[in-house]
Amino acid sequence: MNALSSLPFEIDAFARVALLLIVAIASAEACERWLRLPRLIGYVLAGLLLGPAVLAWVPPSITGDLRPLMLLGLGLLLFELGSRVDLRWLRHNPLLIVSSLVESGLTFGAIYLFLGWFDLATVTRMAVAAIAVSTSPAVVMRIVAENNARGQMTERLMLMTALNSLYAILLLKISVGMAHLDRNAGLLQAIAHPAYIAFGSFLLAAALAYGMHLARFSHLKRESERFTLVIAVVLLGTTLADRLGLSVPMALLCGGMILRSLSQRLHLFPEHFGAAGALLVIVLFTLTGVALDPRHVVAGGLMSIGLLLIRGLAKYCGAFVSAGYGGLAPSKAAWLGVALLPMSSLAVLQAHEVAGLYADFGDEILAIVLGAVLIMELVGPVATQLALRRSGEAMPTPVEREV
Amino acid sequence: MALENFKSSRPLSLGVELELQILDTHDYALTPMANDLLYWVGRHADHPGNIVPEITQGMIEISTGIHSTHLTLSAELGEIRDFLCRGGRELNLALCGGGTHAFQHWGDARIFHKERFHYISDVYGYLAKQFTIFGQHIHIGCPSPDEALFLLHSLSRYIPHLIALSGASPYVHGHDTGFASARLNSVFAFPLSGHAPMVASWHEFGEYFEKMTRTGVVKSMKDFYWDIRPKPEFGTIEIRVCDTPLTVGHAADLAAYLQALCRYLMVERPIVPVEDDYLVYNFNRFQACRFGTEGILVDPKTGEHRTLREDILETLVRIEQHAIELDADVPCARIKTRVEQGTSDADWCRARFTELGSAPELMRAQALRWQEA
Repeated sequence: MNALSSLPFEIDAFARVALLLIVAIASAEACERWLRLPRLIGYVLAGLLLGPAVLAWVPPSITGDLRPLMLLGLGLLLFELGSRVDLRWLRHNPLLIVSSLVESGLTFGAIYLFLGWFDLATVTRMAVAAIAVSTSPAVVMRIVAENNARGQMTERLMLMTALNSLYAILLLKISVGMAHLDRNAGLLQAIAHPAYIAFGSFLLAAALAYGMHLARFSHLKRESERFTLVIAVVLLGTTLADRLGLSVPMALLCGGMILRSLSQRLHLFPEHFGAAGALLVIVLFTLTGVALDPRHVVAGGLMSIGLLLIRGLAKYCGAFVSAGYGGLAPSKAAWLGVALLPMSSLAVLQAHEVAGLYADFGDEILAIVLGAVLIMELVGPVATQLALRRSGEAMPTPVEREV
Repeated sequence: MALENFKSSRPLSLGVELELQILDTHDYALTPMANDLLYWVGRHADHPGNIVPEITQGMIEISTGIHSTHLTLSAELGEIRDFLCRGGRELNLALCGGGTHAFQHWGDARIFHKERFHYISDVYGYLAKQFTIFGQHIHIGCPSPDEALFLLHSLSRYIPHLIALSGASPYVHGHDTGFASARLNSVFAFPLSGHAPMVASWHEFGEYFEKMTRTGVVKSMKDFYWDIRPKPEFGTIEIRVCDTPLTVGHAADLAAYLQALCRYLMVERPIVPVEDDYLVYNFNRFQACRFGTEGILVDPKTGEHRTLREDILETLVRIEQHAIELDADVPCARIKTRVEQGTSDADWCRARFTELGSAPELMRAQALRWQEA
């Protein structure tokens, strides 16, 4: 039975969260010091260890209880990524758009074809391929911050992650539209729904960013108050997108991007918006670990592993498009392909979203995606960190800036 | 290693080197993208100027060819700037002038991967990283080595002029230092900085160099961090005290002023350099760094005190005819206006900082200014 239930006092929810956080920090420290792995891996491993899959000291319900915090953490990272992407850059270097489209298109196409070998519905193949297009914004932002990385590859990593996440969201909505078509829903609905989500999310993002801009947000002197406002905007974006049936990740990503391009003045946020933001990020990754279930790898099996290999290859090829004339040294382009590997919470969120809509083919999608995510949760951060270090863009001795 | 022969070059020919800052367009901190920018440059075969790395990854150095007048010099500088700014847009980085980065911490600098830079870093420790400062070096062609040494020592009296006119580094680590050029304080920390020994002939200079190499302290001329240094392989003297100005236009104007001044010294020979000229050298240099054109200049012979502003304006009158001969009268007139109106790059930085409220915003303003003519 559960070891903790034999104690003379009851372990309440606070104590469990405390335990989870302490183990997360300890294991992050161990990962960095002795294993030279990203700290992020430590958070995930702590969750996996204490979660139902291994020790079961933390009940699975904790992911439900703390879901708002988790979503807020993910929302912050999406918004942060958006605010780091300057769309004006695309105008000056159009090869970047080509590179990003090739990378995403190749990923989508190759995985769709690969899944054709298995007995799967077209819609399932499309949905899984769409989800696989996205590189995890959360993992990328965290690993870039952990390694204090700066340089051309890092810039492109963030840009391409933001773009492929947007494509992934759109492609998934279109796949869902196709599912409507499958079920003999009207053609209008099949097209109108993804279009509504895309335009709606964009308009909401524009409204939020414009609001921040008009409020002369960047003039607030106190960092703590700016952080509070960012939290408020992320919360508002999350709840409004949810109520209006729009895409939350899309609204937040676009919100950050529009804010960046609206004003010539700088919108400087500290990394992850400061210590409070960093806490949310730690909670996000720890809970991601709790939710991991090794049985998914069994269920996903060959399909998950094949998907990862093909996805890796496609991203690797796509990254090369912006090498040479695009201004990226070929050696760095090779590492960019590796850095684009992570798959994490955004994929999980999307898989659950489709599964919630369609019970019949939802399980298949969940099995393949969650199996792949489980592997990538551990491999992805290591790949990105390795790429940042080998390309020489990580700061040799990382400086802790969160405090 | 023995001292090289001094190669003769056309008198008063001009060449300029500028060290530039590479900024992240996200937060306008220095960003280690020198190798990325150099890769981009390498893919454009017929690019203007010469573009090379500097000691840390957040810097890049541009240099012009040899020019005889301000006109062609400023045109080439403009071309190099436009070319690099295009690279900046394609790579999402920004470039700017100014002698220091307003909020960079020396500990964040990364040494550019090149043997000499690692050597310097090993020898000088943090001084090397603190050397992430940005200067303008001006080369003046000299027909003979003895003429070069004459010019070098005659110019020592005017070094404060160039410091005061170029000062563009009031901020260090996010704070106002009160200096017009805080950059030179970093140079002064090096044990072999200061001025060249007071010798009049290349033969004597060779003996001095030999003695220094025998001690093992120096291996080549590059190990001296003097304010003015002979460059035998170019046949020039190199004036190294200027901060990189905020625009290439002002960089070319400074070169024109120096060229006219050198013509005056070479043709009229108003000074016979003596050891005692250096009595007040460091005091005058400090005054120029600290107060710009408001600083005091002490005459080593008469002991007279006057402001640098007065001395520069008077010098401009004295060298006017030489400036006209060199087609440098228009840039000298611009310098006169600046001195009369009391506008300097350092003041501009302070005004923007006050107006915009933060060091990153100041760096962004500097990056925008750099793109202008």
